[in-house]
This record gives sequence, structure tokens and C-alpha cells, in this order.
Amino acid sequence: MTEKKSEDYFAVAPPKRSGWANFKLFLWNGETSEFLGRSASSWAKIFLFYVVLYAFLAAFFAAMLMVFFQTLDLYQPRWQNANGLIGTNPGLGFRPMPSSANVESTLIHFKHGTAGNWKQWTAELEKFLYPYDTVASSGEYFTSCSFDKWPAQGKVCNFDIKLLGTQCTKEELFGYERGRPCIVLKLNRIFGWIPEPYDDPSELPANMPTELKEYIKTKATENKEQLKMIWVSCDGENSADREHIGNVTYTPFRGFPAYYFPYKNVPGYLSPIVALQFQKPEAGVLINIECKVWAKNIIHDRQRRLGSVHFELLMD
Amino acid sequence: MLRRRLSTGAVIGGQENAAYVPDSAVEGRQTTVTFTGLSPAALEANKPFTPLKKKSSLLSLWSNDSRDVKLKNLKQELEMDEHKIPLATLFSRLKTDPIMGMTQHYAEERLRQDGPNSLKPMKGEPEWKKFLVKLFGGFHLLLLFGAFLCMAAFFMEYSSSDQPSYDNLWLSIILIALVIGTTIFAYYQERQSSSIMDSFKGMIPQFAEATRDGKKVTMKVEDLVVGDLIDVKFGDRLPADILILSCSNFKVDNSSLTGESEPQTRAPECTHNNPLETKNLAFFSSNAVEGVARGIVIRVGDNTVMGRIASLTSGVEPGPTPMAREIQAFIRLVSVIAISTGSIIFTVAMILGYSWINSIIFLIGIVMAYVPQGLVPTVAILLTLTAKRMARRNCLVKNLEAVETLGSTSTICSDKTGTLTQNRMTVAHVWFDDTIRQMDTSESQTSDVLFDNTIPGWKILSRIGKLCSRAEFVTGQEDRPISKRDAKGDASEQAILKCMEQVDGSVADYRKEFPTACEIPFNSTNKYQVSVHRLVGVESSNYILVMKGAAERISALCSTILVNEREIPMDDEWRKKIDDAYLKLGGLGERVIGFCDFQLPAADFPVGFKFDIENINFPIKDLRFVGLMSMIDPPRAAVPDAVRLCRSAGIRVVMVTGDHPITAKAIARSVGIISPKNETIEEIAERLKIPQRDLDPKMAKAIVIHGAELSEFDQDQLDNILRHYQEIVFARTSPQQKLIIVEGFQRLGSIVAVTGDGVNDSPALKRADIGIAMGITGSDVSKQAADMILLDDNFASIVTGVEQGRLVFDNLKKSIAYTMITKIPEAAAFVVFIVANIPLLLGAIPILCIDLGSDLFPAISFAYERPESDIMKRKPRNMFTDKLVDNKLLEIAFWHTGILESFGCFFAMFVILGENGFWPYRLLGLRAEWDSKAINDLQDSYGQEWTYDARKELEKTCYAAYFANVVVQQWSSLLTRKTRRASIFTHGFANKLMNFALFFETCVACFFIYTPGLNAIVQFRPIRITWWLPSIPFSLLNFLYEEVRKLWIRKYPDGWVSKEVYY
Repeated sequence: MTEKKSEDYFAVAPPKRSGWANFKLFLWNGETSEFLGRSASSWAKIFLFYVVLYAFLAAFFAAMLMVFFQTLDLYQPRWQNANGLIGTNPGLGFRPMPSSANVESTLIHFKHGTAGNWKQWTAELEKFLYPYDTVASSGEYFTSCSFDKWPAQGKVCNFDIKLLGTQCTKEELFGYERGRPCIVLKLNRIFGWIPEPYDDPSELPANMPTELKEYIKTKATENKEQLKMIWVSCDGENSADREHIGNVTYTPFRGFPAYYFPYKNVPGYLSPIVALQFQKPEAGVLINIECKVWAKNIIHDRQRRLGSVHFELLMD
Repeated sequence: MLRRRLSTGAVIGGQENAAYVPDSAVEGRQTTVTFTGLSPAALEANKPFTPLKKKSSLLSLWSNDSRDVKLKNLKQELEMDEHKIPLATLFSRLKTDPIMGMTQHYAEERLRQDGPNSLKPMKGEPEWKKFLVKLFGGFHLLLLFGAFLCMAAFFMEYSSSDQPSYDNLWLSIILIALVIGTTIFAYYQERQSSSIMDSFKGMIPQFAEATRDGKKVTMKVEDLVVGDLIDVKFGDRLPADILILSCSNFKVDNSSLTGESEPQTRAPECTHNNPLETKNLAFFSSNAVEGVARGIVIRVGDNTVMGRIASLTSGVEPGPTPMAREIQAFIRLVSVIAISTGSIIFTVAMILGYSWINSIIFLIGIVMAYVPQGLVPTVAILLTLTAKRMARRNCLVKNLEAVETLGSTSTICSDKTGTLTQNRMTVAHVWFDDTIRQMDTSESQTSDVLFDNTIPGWKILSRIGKLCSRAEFVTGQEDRPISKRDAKGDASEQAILKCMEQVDGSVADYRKEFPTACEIPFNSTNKYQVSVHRLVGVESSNYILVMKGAAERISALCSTILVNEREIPMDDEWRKKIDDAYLKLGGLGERVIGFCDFQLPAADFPVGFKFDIENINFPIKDLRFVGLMSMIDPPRAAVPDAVRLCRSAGIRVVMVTGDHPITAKAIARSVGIISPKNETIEEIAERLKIPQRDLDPKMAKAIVIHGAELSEFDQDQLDNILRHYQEIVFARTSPQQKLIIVEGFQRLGSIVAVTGDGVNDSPALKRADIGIAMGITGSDVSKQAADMILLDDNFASIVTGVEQGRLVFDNLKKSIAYTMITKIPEAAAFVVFIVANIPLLLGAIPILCIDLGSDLFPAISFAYERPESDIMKRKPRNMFTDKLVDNKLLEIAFWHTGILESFGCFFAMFVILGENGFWPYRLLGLRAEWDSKAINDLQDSYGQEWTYDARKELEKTCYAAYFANVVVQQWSSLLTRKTRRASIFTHGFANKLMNFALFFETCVACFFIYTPGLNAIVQFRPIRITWWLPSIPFSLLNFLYEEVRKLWIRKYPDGWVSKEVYY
């Protein structure tokens, strides 16, 4: 009893061991058959405990997620345009893109000619255009449109690949072999976003390239309806680039006709595209190219890549 | 037969009665023997002060640890011969003269050689070193390493990319700023608490009267040199160690140096080899309480006895505080977890094909997530708040971490004089009319007279007390309570004076009625004091003679005794009665004084009679015995309660005093350090009437150990004593022995608190885990050495300290249990990002917003949490097993609540990303494309295409929402961390600050998320109100789970599950 009393008073120090000896004992304690501080049965119990605990947590999590998805519309996002983070200022995308191994790159680099190494890029374009070729946009929601024929309520326009003409086709190897590469542009889809085109040649913004202004003014004389378009302009980023870029042609339109908008996430929908063709880019020189889209409700910001896209072309 | 071994405390007790006869009678031990029945041989065996030569051999045996030699030397007793050698030798050695003093010229030279007569201030660590220790201590090294890696990663990226991201640079700058900020904060906190001490440093300059070149000069004490001839009078503090050349009725108070509660007489003769015992030495810092003396300075500054103890004190290295040890262990544990998890993530990332720069950034992210950046301020503020709370109760804490130490304390070694007692002689009992009557000894002495002061017997006794005394009050203090007034004179005369003033009113007025005719002052040969006063209004007599002195001496001088107004002849029966009363009071540790008087017959002593004190012409024999008064330095009123409370809190209270065993034991009994049910072996022997040697010493649970006895013990013997006896009193201990006792307790695994006020306590105060000094009576050296100062000298404040210490430990534990929870949600964002390749949901800077923003105030609010159970009823924590942070605590925080919160946060993320277009399935493997600037058209689950910029905006919205949802879940975590066992509903929500913290942390979160500009810096974007809500079900689940867990712990406290889930 006396001994017990003294234990009451004094904390008994654990035997002194080196850190390493302590660690070894922690790894495997032969005396108590403990591995990492627990015996086999203790490990089994604690394992079971955590299995039960985490199974319950996971089930709760799954249940909550299921409840959440019950409240979610499968076809339109809850927060659209300015309400969501996607905003109201679409960006631009281009194809072909470098492979996913080179995910940080925007350089289209190839050697033209029959002995060239452009296969990667044409294959990429083929892959991108495959849906346009085969499934096309058809079905009850789709209709073909023109500037004079806007889609009826509840319908969306399909994009006919034939409009791309004869140059930027896979038969022509998209011009890569001949050194006149095609690059496809598409406007980012934003659910419910409606463009406000520059449809009055007298109201064009000052910073629009003169060449595009001229084009719009020419178009205006033809058919006013054709101005209902998100205009596209591509040029070299710096003066050196502009020197080397050569002539660029836009097919089928100089932009994205407004009747394709708004995007409504209709199954089978295909984005309208513009095929650029560089008629005579300077070989062996890296050309920085910036394409911009023009509409009243699109602003441009090169750093943030708003209303524009940047890529580099290097043709050997 | 009487020469027993010293290991029997009773013998010592018996002998030490000798010390309680009036101080002037100290030499007259033979006389005492007649009272106690002990032979001179027994006295011989018991030297009053520990011979320190023995001590040194003991020390070499004990100090197996690597203390430096200097300290060892200091621990040895001092060697001095100045008191033994002939004066002439001394004068020639010191080049001085007993009349002319030193020459001014030579004194100045010596001053240059020896330096000023002052104690070198204890050297603390230089400030820059303190700062550096803080800068690289704790988690700072880890964070600085992270900052370095971030910086390196930034420069690598900067040199290889034309569009470098500045995030890493920012992060490294923020980390460095954080480290520096925390360092400055912690440093400032410490300085603030230590600057309190500066107030004690400003000592009033003191002056000494020296004779130089035959002229008396008043000079600064600092300028005194060895050999100076100085004069000291009562009221002075001795300016140096001096050898007394001549003196008149000179007494010094040595209580600070030796712990003796009574003033010691000094005389020019060498009476003892031990310098501390001899009468012709007086020491620096002790106070002259009576008389005048002329002496020669033999030691100055650090060489003085007091200086040596002070150096011993500064040489003793206190170990780290228990709190520091706990925090160190916690930091080590978390660092190991952080680094090993980080390394695993780094390896996994490398295997998964991330670049090594990215992998290092992941490593930093994990380390950042695990390190509780808020720990340093939280701990500091928690401790500061507790320290402030204690300061309000007159407990001043010098070292912040010491706040907790009292809570862990398992042994309190308390000094007696001035700590447990009032350090003020007070009349405790009077004996007259064959009755012992108790007097009021409380500190305030405001209670009414304890007996009828109109009893004739008292009137006669008190007349002697009032008249036969040279003590008088210092004028100008009439407005103070009597017990607080200063008085001149011998300690026991002062005690009687105050007692009389208290009971009967003004003594000075009374004395005027009895003008003094003549007076024989006390001297050690007579052992009595006599005065004759004019008596008016009595026919038979014109004069009254009053006498007081050593009780046995007085009774011997009397032939009659006054009992119940009748004067009866003193026969053997009455002598025995007086002896019995004397022994009884002496046994209580009290100093007994006898009183007698005699009315001089008018016939022989007409008015105007010339009394001659040289050739005494009046009777001083065959007087009338009136009564006894006994005095003690009484315990402080609050002490017994405080001792009891400490006991019930499982803390052992041990007395370690320099005073004599019998006083020590008496005080120990009266304050409960020796409890009524326990007896010492001597007491058992006496009760059973069996010789002590026939008894098993282990029968007793209490023991009184004399310093001389202690010096003969080896380490094992001491350990056995400390282990076996529950109630221990160490008496007549030297400062070195106090140190050894403290070390003994510490060796056995105790956390030791030492309380003391004297210089002799200082080394022990310093060595203790927590040293507690007395603010009013304490010496400066003891205050310097202590970690805590009781400003009102109230021992009961220690109980408050224990309670607050335990509370702050519990609350800090809860606070850490709270803050560590968020480590898992923080790390989870990174781990899932790397392993499942989803976009990052919480960046590194937002992690800091949690740790240093929203979580900080709630963590601090635990400071105001009330205790969960009666923390004063449980035992002190076991320093080896009851850790501040153990695996269990982290397990619950990480793998229960942390995981739960992570689920909640991820659910919130899936809601927000889902509502914006990215469903969970779409997110898997999306990381590379998501983070690629080249991809300007990333498709979501609705076919929408996102620019890089929009995606990053969404990502920062996610950071903010993740943060918000951590806060929402920390609401319930905060509440559930209030208790470890009890249901939160029984515990209640009384902590107003914590309730406010719930609101405040939400405000902090809103501030970070919604303040324009600031949110950009911390990588947040404003979020919808509804995005705060998704984790609420998880928050409620958290609350429910904790209640169930605690219910289970309460219901099946011994079950396997409870053992696993209780921290």
C-alpha cells in the first residue's frame, strides 16, 4: 500500500532509450507483439472502426451528392452568363491544337512538302471535323439557316461542312502539304449568350483593323442582313509577324453568323467554325498570330485572352 | 541513552527547545537542559548549521550530471578565517587601522582593483540571441525552408519562362513576413512580461558611514572596499560582510540568509568556526535591528556570503518549463507528420510525372497545410491572458510559460519564514491564573479580545508587559492598524508592545502614569530585564519593580505567585505547573517569556529614593511570579486552507526551512503540512511509551529531517525518504541543501514548485520548475531568481495559480485540438489535386487565411473557457504520459473531424463547380488542361467552353467557398471542442468570448472574401450566399458525431472504443 502511495506522488519515468531503439520498439515490440504500437487484434478493431466510420461518411456524402443532383438541371447550368463564373465574354479556340503531351504550347510547327511532318496536325483537324462530316447536326431540333432564314423558336442551326469549300478539306490535306495551312477557329460556347453584332458600318470601333472595316463596308452594300455576324480578324501580333504572315483567307464567312446563337446545349450541336487559310506564310520564321472576334458585347484583353486567341505558326 | 542517532527527529525537536528561550539566553543551553531533560551530549550531536565540508563530498557524489566546476565550488561551503585570526594579523593583512581606518588614497586604489561593492546583475541572454532563438525556433525553420524553396522555384521559373507566375514569390515573401511577424510578436510578449521586473531593479542608493584617514565620511555603499572601517546602527542594511570590532546590544536579522526567524545577537568574540554561526561576523544584506556596531569590511560585492548565494543562483540552470517541453514535443510531432506526408506527396508527384518544381511546390503546400501557423500567437495570448488574470489576483508571472507550470506541479517545497508565516513575532498565548489563554495571531488582528481584559490577573501581567519594555512605536504611523506599525526594539518586545496596544489601548499613555525610576537592560548573564516605576495611589508602596526574562530564570527568582488575585507561596507544585505550561507552549514552537513584579515597601523606599543599578540597592529576588507570555511567528491566515486545497489537488506540500526543527514542526502542524492524523516516529514512540529504536521507522508517515542529518544521506537514502514519507519537514537546511532536495524530487519525476523569500531560497527557486517569491517580504535576489512573484505574499494565491495553470493546460489542449482539425481539409485539397488530377480547390495563401485569420480568434477564445470538471480535485498530470498533444488528440482531430470536414468541403466544391457547369466526373483528370494557359476553350459538362481566365476565376471562387465552408464547419468544431467528456449542453455556452468568436470568425471570413482588393491578394473571389451553405449538413453531423462520441465515453468509460476516441 505504501508503494502504491508513492506511485501516486511520483510519475514513473519510462525507461530511457535512444530514439532509434524507441523507433524499433515502436515498429515491432516483441514483448507485447505490437506492430506500430498496436497488437494484431487492436489493429483489426481499429481497422474495422475506421471502415465503419468512413463507410458511413462516404454514404452520407454520396446521399448528399444525390440530393444535390436531384436539384440540378442536366441540360442547362444553374448559373449562366453573368450569373455564373463563365461570364459573358467568350474566348476563341483554334484547331489543330498541340498534343496533350505539350499541353502548355500553342505552337503549330510542321515541315511542309511531301516529305513533311504535318500528319499530326491534319489528323487533329480531321478528328475535330469528323462530327461535322458524319453525324452532322440533324434531328428535330435542327434546321439549316442563312442570313435570310433564322431558326424558328426552339430550333438551332446546323453547320454544314460543305461551306468550308474546297481548300480546307481533308482531301487537300488542309493545305499543310502545300504550305498553305488551314487553321480552324471557333467561338467559345456560353449557354444562352447572344451576340450584339456590329451591323452598322458607321458604328465600327476605332481599334478594328481597317481591312476588316473595309470588308464590312463592302458587305453592307451587298446585303445588310450579312452584317449580323461576329466578325473575325487575324493578324500578326508584332510588326515582324505582320510582315511574315502573308495573306489570310476566311471561309465560309468572315466570322460567326449570329443566327447560330444562343448556345442551348442541344444534343448533337456543333459550333460554327471559321477556317483560316494562310496563303503564303514565311517559311522558317515563327509567326505570332492573334485572332480577335468583334461584337458590341465582346471586349478584348490580350493578357486574359478575352475575345481573342493566340497561337504561333512555324512552317519549315 | 540520550545520545540517539540524528535520524530521529524528535531528539532534535527536544533539543531545539533551547533556541526558544529568549535570544539573549542562547549561550545558556545548560539551563535549558534542566527543562528538557537532555544531556549536553545530545546537544553536541546537533550542530545548529550544517557543516558544509561534508556537503562537498556529498555533492561530488550526487552531481553526476555535467555541471561545471565553478558551480560545484559555489555549492561548497565558504572558507573564511577572518573571524578566527588575531585582529592585528587581520589589520596588517587588510592594510587598515582600527582607529584611523584606511587611507583615502589606498582605498581608492583598492576600489579600482576590486571593483565596486555591488552584486553583478544576473546576466541574462543577450537580446539578439533571444530574438534569434525565437526566429529559428518552433515551426519557423520549416516555414523558412518552405519560403526558400518557393523563392528557388520562382527564380527557376523566372529564368526559364517569359511569363513567370509571381504566386511563388508572393508566397515566399508572405512566409518570411509571417515568420518575422510571429517572432517579433513572441519576442515582444516575452519582453513585456519580463519588463515588469524592471520595477524591482530600481533600488534606492544607499549610504554607509566609514572612517578614512581618521575622519568619518558618508559614502555610497558601492564605494566601500575591503578594509574599510564602518559604523552600523539599527535600521541599516549591512553594506558588506563585516567583522565586528565593537558593538553595543547589536542584533541582526539573518532570516533572509539562514531562514532563522529571530534576530541574532552579534558580539566581537569569535564563537564558532562556522562563519555563519560565529557572533563576530555580520553579513551583507541582513538588517541591523538593534544597537550599534563598528566593524571592518572583509568581503564586498560578489565575494560576500550573499553574493556567493546570488552567484550560485545564477549558476543554476533551470530546465525548460513543462509547457516548453510539451510545445517542443508537439512541434516535433507535427513536423515529423508534415515532412513525412510532404515527402510521400513529393515522391508520388514525381512518380505521377510532375516536374520537380511542381513536386516541390506540392511539398511546400502540404507542409504549409500541416503547420499550425497560428500556434505561436495562440499559445502566447492564452498564456498572457492567464498571466493577466493571475496578476489581478496578485500573482505576478515573470516567465509566461511558468503560468502553466503550477498546474503541473506535483510537489511544493515551501520555505517557512515569511512564506507560510507572517515573519513577525506575535504573542500567541499568555499564562496566568494557572490558565493558558490564546491571543489573536491573525494577520489583521482585528478580532475582538479573546478573553476578558478586565480580569485582575491580566491587569497585573499586562502592567509588567507595558512597563518592562524598551520598545516603542515609531511616531507618525498612528493611522495604521497596530499590527502594521513599525516599532523600535527587540522582536519579542515589539510583539508584547503590539499585543498590549491591541488589547488595552495606548501603551505610551499608560507608561506616563508610571514614570520610570530606574532600569536594568537585558543582558545575557542575567537573562532578565528589570525596571522600577513610580507607583501612585497605593499606600503601602511608592515604587513597583517589574521584571521579565527567560521563564526558568524568572521562576527561580520568585518566592510567591499571583493566582486569582491571591499571592501564594511558590511551592514545588506551582513550579511544576509553570514548567508544564512552559513546556507545552515551547512544544508549540513558541518562545516563552516569564513575568514577575514586586511592590517595594514604602517604608524602605520613600519617594525620591535613589536607585543604583551598578550596586543594586533594591531586591531582585523573592519576587512575585505573575505569568508567562509566549510568542511565535504565526502562520498566515490563508495558509492552512491553501495547503488543504493543494492536498486535495494531489499536490504534496513539503516544508524546507532554515529555521529550527521544533518551530518548523509546530508551524507545519498548524498549517496542515503535517496533518493531524499523522505522527512522526518520535510522536509514536512517545504515545506508545516504547523506545524509538524498537519501532519500525516506516510506521510513521510524517518526518522532520534536520539539515545535519540530511548531509549524511546519500542519494538513495534521500530518495527513499522522499518516496516513503507523505509529509516531510526539512529544518536547518542550507541553500545548497534546498537545491539538493529540489533536485531529489525532480529526479523522482516530480514537477517542483519552490516558494521562498530569502536569499537562501534563491538557488532552489531558480532550480525549481517554478520558483515563487514573495513580493513584499522577498529579497531582491529571490525575486530575480523566481518565475512568479506573489505580490501580496499570500500563499493562497498559489492555489489560484495551480487552478489557472491546469485550466490553461486543458484549454490549450482543446485549442490545439480545434486548430489541428483544419489541417486535414487544407491538405486534402492538395492531395486530391495531385492524386485525382482535379483542379486545385484551396491555394497556399488561403490556407494562411484559415490558420491566421478565421481560426485564430476562436482558438484564443478557449482562454476563457471554464473548466470542464473540478480541476482542483484531480491529481497533477503525469508528465510522462499526460501530454499536451498526444497521438489520440491528433487522431481525433485529423482522422475523425478533419476527414468529416474534408467531405463537407468537397461536397461544397462539387455543388459550386456543378452549378457552374463542371460535374464531379468531368473534373477527374482535368488538372493539366485546366491549368494550361494554352487552352482557351475548355469544355464543361454542359458543353460550354471556358477561357483560361474564366477557369481561374472559378478556381479562386472555389478557394473562397472552400474557406467559407471550413469556417461553417469550424463553428460546430469550436463548440464541440469546449468539452472532452461532458455533453456540450450540460457544459453550457457561458464563454461569451467564444460565442462572439463564432460571429467574429464569420466576419473575418467575409472580410477576406468580399473586400475588394484584399480578396485579390489572398486569391479569393466573392461568393454567393448559398455557397456558404452546402457543408451545413456536415457541420451538423460533426456536432452530432461529437455528442455521440462523448456520450459513449461517458457511458462506457472503460470500453475499447472509449480508449480509442478519448484524448
